[in-house]
Amino acid sequence: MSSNPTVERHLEGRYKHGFFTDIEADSLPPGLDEDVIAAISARKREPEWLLEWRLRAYRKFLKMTEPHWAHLEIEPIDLQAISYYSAPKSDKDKPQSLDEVDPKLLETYDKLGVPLHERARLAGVAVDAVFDSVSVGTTFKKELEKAGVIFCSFAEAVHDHPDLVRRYLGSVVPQHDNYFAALNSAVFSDGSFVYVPKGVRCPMELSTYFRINAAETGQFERTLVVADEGSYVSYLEGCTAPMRDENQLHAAVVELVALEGAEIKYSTVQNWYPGDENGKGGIYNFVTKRGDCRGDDSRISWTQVETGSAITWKYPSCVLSGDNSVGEFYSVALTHNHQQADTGTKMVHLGSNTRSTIISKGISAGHGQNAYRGLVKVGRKAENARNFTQCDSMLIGKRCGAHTFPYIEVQNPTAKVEHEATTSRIGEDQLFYCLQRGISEEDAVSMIVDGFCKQVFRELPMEFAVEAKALLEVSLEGAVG
Amino acid sequence: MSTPAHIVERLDRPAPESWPTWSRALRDRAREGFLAHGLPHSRLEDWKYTSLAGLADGVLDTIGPGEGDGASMRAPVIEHRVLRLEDGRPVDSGPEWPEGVELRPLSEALAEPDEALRGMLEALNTQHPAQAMTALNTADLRHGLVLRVSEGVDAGRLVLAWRSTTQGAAALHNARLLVSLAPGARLDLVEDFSVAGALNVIHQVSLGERSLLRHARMQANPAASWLITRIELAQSADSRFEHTSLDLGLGLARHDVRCCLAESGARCDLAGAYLPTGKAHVDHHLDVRHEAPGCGSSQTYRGVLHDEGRAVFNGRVHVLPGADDSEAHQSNQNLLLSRNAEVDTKPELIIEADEVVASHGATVGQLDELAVFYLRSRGIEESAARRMLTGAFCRSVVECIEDEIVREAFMARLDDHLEQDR
Repeated sequence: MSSNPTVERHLEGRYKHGFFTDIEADSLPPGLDEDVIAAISARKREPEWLLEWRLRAYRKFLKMTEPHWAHLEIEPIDLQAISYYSAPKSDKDKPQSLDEVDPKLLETYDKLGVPLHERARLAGVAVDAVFDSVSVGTTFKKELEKAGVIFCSFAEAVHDHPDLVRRYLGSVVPQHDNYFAALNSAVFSDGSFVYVPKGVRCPMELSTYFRINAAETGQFERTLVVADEGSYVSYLEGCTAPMRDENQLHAAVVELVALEGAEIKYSTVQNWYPGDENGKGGIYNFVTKRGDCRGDDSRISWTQVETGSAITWKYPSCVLSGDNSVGEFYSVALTHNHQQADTGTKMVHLGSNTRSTIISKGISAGHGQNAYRGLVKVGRKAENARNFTQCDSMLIGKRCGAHTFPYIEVQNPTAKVEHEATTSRIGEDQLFYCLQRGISEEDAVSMIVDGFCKQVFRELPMEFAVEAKALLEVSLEGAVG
Repeated sequence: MSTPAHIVERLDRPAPESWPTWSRALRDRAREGFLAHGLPHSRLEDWKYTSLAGLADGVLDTIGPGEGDGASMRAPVIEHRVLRLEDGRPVDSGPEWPEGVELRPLSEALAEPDEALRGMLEALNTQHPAQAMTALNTADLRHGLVLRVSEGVDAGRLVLAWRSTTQGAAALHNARLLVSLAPGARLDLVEDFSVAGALNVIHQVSLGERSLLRHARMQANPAASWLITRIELAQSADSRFEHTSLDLGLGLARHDVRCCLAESGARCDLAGAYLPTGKAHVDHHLDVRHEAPGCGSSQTYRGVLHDEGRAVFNGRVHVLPGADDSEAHQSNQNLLLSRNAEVDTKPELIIEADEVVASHGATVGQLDELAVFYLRSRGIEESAARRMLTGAFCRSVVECIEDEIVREAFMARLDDHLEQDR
């Protein structure tokens, strides 16, 4: 198969979100110490307890070292060269409503395809957009309030709902959980907070859009979703960043708490800038995501489509503490050019009759390196635990890699755990069949890949599924050629 | 608890004067390697689930014979063509060999100049913390065997019966086995371990083009024993390695197998059944490297866990860039039959080449209750029905052994074990 000029052209233009918005920003100078943390906290007018919490995390962080166990090649990260706070300086005061949000900023989201007004209205999705370090506006606030759902930026939540934040912050991902989570706990600047009260089915899908804009900044957002007894919420998250030569760090923490009978569905379409075709630049996406099925009969479902980032290091996990709780993980991870991904999940079965399902699809093209790393652990007291894991990898091209590192630890004799995995390339016969039906090679590849990922796309909310599919097509074009 | 220096001191017996300088340098370097890292610990990924702490606490502190339990006297699994090794040291000259087969003690081979031997011995990494047991073995390099089969010769069968003179807790013994098969050569190697105390054995194998090594290994060591084995294998074009491992012992067994499929057409098939009972701990670490195009490999491991038995399986297949048209299959299935037993399994695939077909599967579960019910409805007692089903589950591994005599002998041992089992 030889290279195809149309495909190459397409490939060159493939990262549509690489623009940079020139808006005045209020940033802290690069560097990390206790003063910087105090400055972040002061800028956000945080209560004393939160500053203390951050400083405790920072002191733990200082004792930790960067992890190197992942199947990744990471250039050393200079944490002192990063600015830990950057906020669009539109107004000295925080915008009270969307009408007060800087029009330039709104334009940025338009370009991204997240017109806060329109899309939200059409799709019935409430969007909280996070620009660099602060949350710039939350749509549909009023409608949600009517249902009793709290959906706001993290900073607002700290002021308006301190009890809830204090109760749940760090209860799923402790400060010292890992190196990047500790860093996040110390310097996190904003993020989203969701609380769905007892018995409420959140009337619309909630969504956050993350964007890194300023150069030499990192983004360290923190998301906390709490679903009280018998409630339901579906949460969507999307991400982009401008094209830059240097690597930018994104170290987020997401905590989900599902109480008795609650269900949380968390979907991500991650399209951070992946770097150019020579592997220069791109986002380091080092994220800790964990959900705790704390109550009986609760359910947490993670769905992720990972097409962006130079390096992805991410393991959305479920702790199944409640009896009869269910954890799910559906993932499509695509690595092209010089992208690397080490991603997967952890399912920790602690309660009785807990069930988990893991479906992971990895696609590697170009020089991409894609690793699934997962843990299924069945504790001694977890009676009748069930797990099914399927992780399939597809290789497109000669220089890419697909790796699987599943850990299975079973301590209870009533457990049933199944893991299966395959690695293969796109079948010549499948391709040939499509070609002889007059389907072009690119279309055939995208069709086959789409079929390969179907099980995961099915789990995404409709608008996201369309976006994910399109994203995958754009990301893959030129892979076979 | 023994410190690394303490352990080395106990083992330290200088190499004979007649040995070449390079071999002493090799021992010294390995000694440094071990002193630097000490015994492997659970912070090392390769030793995450297996602790040798008991070895440091007990065995290495105890010198001299302990209480006997007669395990050492057990007759070999096959009684023909047997070579007996006590405490890792060959005690007889073994069977008669056809022309073209050379078998001699390592210490004797080392006293003469031999570049091929030197190349093999120097190839092992003794400086990595996870390879500390290899370092310890090399630091104590002395006992073992060198076996060479010439081109086109079928050496037939060799049964190695590993026994210990001291029963119960005793010092750690190290042994090295160096096997080279010239192009087209064949060997059936059977190993039977019944060893108290601790034994650390390394096999270094080189398979020439079109050669075939069939290797069947079983261990029935007593409780509070440590068997640490490592097979390092380099395979040339179209060579074959068929390996079956049967673990019936009550102690700790750690088996590392590392196969390099260095030339096209090479194939290795690894299979194993482990039935830890009591406090037995069985750890299989497999690492198959596909370095050339058109190679094949399979890993088929099955375990049945009773009591406080513990099984660890880490099967890695690494297909390197350029090793196109590789085929690799991996399967690990476990029956977890007791509340206090534990299985930790990790079937890894690292694929860096195109045109590869690779698959792996791992399961942990129980006996099919419907099948048990079916057998009971035919008048078979429940315990017998369960035994029958567990037996069938493990037998499929032993059935892979091609040589009928070996297969029958292993099957008989497996059946005995299943009978004793409640």
